[in-house]
Amino acid sequence: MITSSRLHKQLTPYYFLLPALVVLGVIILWPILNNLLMSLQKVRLLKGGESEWVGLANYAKLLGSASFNSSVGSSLKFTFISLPIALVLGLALALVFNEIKKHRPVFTAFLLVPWAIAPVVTGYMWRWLFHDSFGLVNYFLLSVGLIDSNVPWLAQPGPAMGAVVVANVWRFMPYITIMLLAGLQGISGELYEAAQVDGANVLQRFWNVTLPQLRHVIGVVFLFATIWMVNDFGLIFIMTEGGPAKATQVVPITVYRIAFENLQLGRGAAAAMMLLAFLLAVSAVFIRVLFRERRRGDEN
Amino acid sequence: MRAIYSLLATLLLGLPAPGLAEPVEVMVWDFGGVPGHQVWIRQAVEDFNARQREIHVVLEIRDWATQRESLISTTIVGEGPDIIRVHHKYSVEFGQLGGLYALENFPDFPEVAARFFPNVLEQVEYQGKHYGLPITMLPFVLAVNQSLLARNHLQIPRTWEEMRAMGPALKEAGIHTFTMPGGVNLDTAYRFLPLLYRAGGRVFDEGWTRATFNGPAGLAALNFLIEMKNAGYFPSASAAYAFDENAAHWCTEKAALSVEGPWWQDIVLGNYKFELTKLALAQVPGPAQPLEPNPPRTLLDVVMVSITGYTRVPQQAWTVLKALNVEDPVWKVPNPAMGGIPAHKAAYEPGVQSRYIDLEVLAEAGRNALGWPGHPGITEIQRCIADAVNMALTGALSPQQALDAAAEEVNEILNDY
Amino acid sequence: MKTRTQAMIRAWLGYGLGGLSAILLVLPLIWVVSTSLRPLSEVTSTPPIVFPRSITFNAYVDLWAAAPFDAYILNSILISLSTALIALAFSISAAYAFARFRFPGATLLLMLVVMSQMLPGSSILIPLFQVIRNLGLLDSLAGMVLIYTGFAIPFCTWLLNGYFRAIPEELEQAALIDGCSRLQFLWRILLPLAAPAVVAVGTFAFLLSWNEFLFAFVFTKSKALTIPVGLRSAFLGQYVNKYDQLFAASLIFSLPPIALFVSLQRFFVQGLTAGAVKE
Repeated sequence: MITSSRLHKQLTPYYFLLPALVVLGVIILWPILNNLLMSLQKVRLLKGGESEWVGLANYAKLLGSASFNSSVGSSLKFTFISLPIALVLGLALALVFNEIKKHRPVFTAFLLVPWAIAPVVTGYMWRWLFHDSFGLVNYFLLSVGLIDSNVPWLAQPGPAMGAVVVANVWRFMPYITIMLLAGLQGISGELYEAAQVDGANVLQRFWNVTLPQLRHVIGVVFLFATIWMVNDFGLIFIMTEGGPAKATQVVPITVYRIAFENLQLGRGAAAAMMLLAFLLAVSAVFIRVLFRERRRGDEN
Repeated sequence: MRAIYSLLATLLLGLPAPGLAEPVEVMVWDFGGVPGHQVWIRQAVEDFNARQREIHVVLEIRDWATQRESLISTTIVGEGPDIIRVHHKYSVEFGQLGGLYALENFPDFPEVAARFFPNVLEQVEYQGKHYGLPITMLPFVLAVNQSLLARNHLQIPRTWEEMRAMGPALKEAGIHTFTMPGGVNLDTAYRFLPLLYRAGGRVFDEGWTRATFNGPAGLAALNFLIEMKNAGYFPSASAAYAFDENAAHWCTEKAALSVEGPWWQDIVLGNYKFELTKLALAQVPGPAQPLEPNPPRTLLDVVMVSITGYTRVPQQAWTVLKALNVEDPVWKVPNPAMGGIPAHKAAYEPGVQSRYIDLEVLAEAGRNALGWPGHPGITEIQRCIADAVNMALTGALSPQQALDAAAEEVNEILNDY
Repeated sequence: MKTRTQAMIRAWLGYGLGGLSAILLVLPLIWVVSTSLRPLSEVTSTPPIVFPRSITFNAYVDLWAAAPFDAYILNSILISLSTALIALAFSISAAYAFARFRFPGATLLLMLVVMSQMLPGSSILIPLFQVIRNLGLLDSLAGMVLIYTGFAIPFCTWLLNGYFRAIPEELEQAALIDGCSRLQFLWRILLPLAAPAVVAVGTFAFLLSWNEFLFAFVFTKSKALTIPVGLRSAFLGQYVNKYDQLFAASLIFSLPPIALFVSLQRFFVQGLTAGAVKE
């Protein structure tokens, strides 16, 4: 028999969850549903807003279009080149900063700057840094002799992708470093002392104490950084508008073009849905890993 | 204080006291706009609010780049500003959506319309209705740094062949002959079109059934650009340039010629402190022999001020529209600070003094100019053309391939409608 | 002796490398700084000048007249602080639920929470605009706080969840046996222990609201305008941009978040974790 207090106990987690879920429901539930519904229609906004149900036709059209497929490729390139670099650099920085015991806030203040600067400024700054004749990147490379003449970074497909990756890594490092630093600060000193007593050296301590303790935080940071990088629109748009020759036209830019320039809201929603599906798959993997560990932990 | 007196007046006279009624609020969104225009409109709105009590205008200067997100959202939801200042192509796009208010609804519209040039009025018309007042026109011309030319003993070119011939001398001096935005942005399409038009080409055929910009004229124009780039007379970094970078290139005297319009004078002065004595305007060059039978033209762009379709106060909005954009004295004189030359006939009366350099060139270009076709999918079409030019400039595709690919997409769009 | 030298080496390496990397990270901004100290016409000079010959502070003075930034600053502070506090409260609560309880639907809910991040902004824009309009919250501070809280909760919840799980359950069980309620435990013991993470996600939520442009732009008309909207309307134009004032303004307006972060670090992290970990 379930007494009221037992029911209350069973409902406790839901009480804790309620505020967050209500907000998310309002802000996100309807947009996702709306996109799903629209993706199954042909909404030519300019024809008096009439829409017809076309089932999966939008999806078929997108999957068959070279431009969409190449934008998927650009998204993957952009994200999975930026991410490992930013993670490694971020972890290295976090480890270094963790050694700073006094006046750490001052050092981390510097760290916060790329994150605190308005994104529009980040975009324009890197756009001009990579400018062929007025940019500091070329100036610097020329003066140390790494190049012979100005490289038109943003005018060629390969270098343009490199440029946006550099800007992206720079922009993400503060966030990654600060999160990992927070994780490092949570690792109890006793674990290190125990390892030292066992005779472990610095590297072994890192591998056997630091990394495992950081696993959750690294996982979360990795997951969300992936999601944000895949969905990012502003930085690339300001730097290259998706060019040159569509080399940096990632999926969010394609969605923007389809929905807001061509005013084909149905097909834009379909592209967004595919993005969502891809990211769901990625996060499903993470949740698997997370809960597999938890079950293992419970058994302990 | 005023309220107390009004209340007393009401009680004493038994009449509704003037001034007790709330002024009607009219919200104006001004997207982007050159600095001179922004200064003018702030003052004009202040003056308007000061000299009468029935209408209170709230002016918001808004970000240019994200205007579509803003306007599409407000149009779909049916709630937003009352007056907007936008490109004339919105009369087709948003007029259809019900996002703009047909000015024919106002009885005095014909009289107001008569104050503008007919060919400019056409640009804001869609299916017989006018969706805005065309306040400025922006014909595209050739911006020339004549001191660079003079230094190298060169004349202002009138044809592409002459431009090519200027190349070697300027290249020796380390200067590009010609520069243009070639990035993935609509500015690229707007600079390509004058070249296309001058060669006798058009975007569509007569019946708007298929794209013709990949015909001989368009191909020749694009080939011309590629040849200039390969010979070093045109910056190879152009494929990364938007308006900003192109202006920087020209204003720092790295290039002699560019295709620009009435906004150029004030911008090069205000942003780059360019010496205006060096600036000259000329007609956009075309090939010595036009390649298609259409009359050579240049591109005309028009800026209009419209009343939104979901406004709750159309009458008051119309009053504000007329006051700010027809009756205001700023429209009686062509003023380079306003970003375009007025479309009002009154600005071209004899005796009007303007500080525009080479105003006759602009006026002649305006008389001889053609706008983008007023097709509902025009933005998408402009993108396709910009993409094609960009592809060719990066060398990813040959000019023929790039234009043909774009034409294919455009034909699909034409079919869709 | 060996450990003391080791400790000293580590400290030196830490400060040295830390200082170096901090400077390297901020280095690209030197162009932003130098552009803000030059007249606009000199932005495009060849070769690029890093240290301008003549410094002018005109940009820093003129920018205030370009738009009503005092109103924007107030709105931004109110919105960002509210978002940070509310998002923190809701996320801590939710993260605690996920970390300490096993309940049906946990996996699904966790997925749902992260799923909310997976649409690009332009796809959420119009449907959300309809929702906010129907709620009557267009052009309002409350509306913006609601939206940004929704944007911030997923990451905050997930990170705190991971952090809470790393804190041993024995602490909690001991506290509960001693007669502590769950809420008391959360507030008095768990949060101080989790201070670094709380400060980090609080900063995240604050910066999210502080720097967000698109939704602030589309959802506001005249009353709830924030700094990012002001930056773009005032300094970015149809043709050319006023980089000197834009950069000056953005440098100034990046200071509040940094100041907040530094003071929070000093207050909570340095003060509380030092003692808490010993437990």
